[in-house]
Amino acid sequence: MPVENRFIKMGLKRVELETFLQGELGRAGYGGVDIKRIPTGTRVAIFVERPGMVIGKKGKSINMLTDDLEKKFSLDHPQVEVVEIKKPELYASIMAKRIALALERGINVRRAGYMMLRRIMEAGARGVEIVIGGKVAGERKKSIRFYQGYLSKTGDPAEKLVSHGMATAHMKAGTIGIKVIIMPPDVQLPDSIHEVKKPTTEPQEAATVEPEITKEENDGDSES
Amino acid sequence: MLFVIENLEPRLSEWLFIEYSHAAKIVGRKNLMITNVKGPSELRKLRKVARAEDRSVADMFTRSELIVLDPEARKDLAPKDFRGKKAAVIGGILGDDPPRMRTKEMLTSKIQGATARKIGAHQFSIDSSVYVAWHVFSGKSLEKIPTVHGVEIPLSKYHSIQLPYEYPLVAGKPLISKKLLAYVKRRGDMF
Repeated sequence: MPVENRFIKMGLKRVELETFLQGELGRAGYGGVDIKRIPTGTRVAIFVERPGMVIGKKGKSINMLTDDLEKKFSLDHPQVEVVEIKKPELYASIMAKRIALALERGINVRRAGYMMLRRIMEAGARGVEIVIGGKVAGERKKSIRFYQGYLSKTGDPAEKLVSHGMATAHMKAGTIGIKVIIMPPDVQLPDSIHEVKKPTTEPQEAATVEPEITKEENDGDSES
Repeated sequence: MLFVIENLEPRLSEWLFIEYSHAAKIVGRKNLMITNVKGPSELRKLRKVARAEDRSVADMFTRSELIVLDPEARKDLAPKDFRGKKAAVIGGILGDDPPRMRTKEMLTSKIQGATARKIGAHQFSIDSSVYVAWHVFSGKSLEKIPTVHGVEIPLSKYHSIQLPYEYPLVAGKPLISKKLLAYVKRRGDMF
């Protein structure tokens, strides 16, 4: 098999896995997956808001999930690790889903957009962009964009350092797509410059010792 | 030359009416006809801005007298294409992104025998299509009409609306009617 086909196949497999996990763990607040090959098999780290829902009673759900990953996606000895998301506001896929739910509940687009923008920025994000787009009857297709802060949109940082998320809201007027891009607070950009301070070589000041004032001297002063 | 907009939307929305009115302003009330308008109230409303008919353009002209603007046509529109023609037909469709190419299915296939031409790779708004067709008819080649793809209308410091369509540039600015801008600002960020 040509090497290109192998990479395409791997990419497709990853998309299928993401879609599967999004469907299975959507209610648990699925935020992403990290797959790594280790000497004993494959380490699958699943990031969720509510780990209890993934693990289940006596680990029943996690065992079923492990079996599914092994059979459906032919992962070699998957070792599933559930990682709790401390700040869901910094996970784009979770926020996209939250916006979709808010829109489906009838919250105005502008209100939902601003609400999530504020929450994400308050969680410490360096930058965020929310795009809500779709076509409803009687209007052209349009996209509404909410943005704040700094966001890398091109190059390596845009691919590796930025969190991307998408969701769909099914409304009476039609289907609306939601795209969220978040730049987390702790990312190290390749062009960021850190100033290194040289150690100071100035001589230390001599320590001065205040003479102790005894009670007798004090009394004498007050008398004179 | 008559510019005909064949209405292909099921109802006359405010957005559609604004684009039709702006097209009438561009070429003049007498030179614009809106066909296939269903419903007496919609006809009454449109007759205030242009000539409006409930019949389809296919029933009103000999097909060889028509040029249809269709993004799926093979050739670009040129001034010589208007020779011997009576009307240029534009589809009255509020577009989607990516375009669903409804013009061919809903218009070109119904008036077979008419000359089909395109005015660019991207999707134009209805009034912009009329503007471009009118300029080409006046003798300008398509390459000499500057256009821009995608327009972003800022609504606040943190919030804007993007319209993913092709707009001709007039004095360096995209050609969008003031009424449409006001409409978008008023209720464009609603779904």
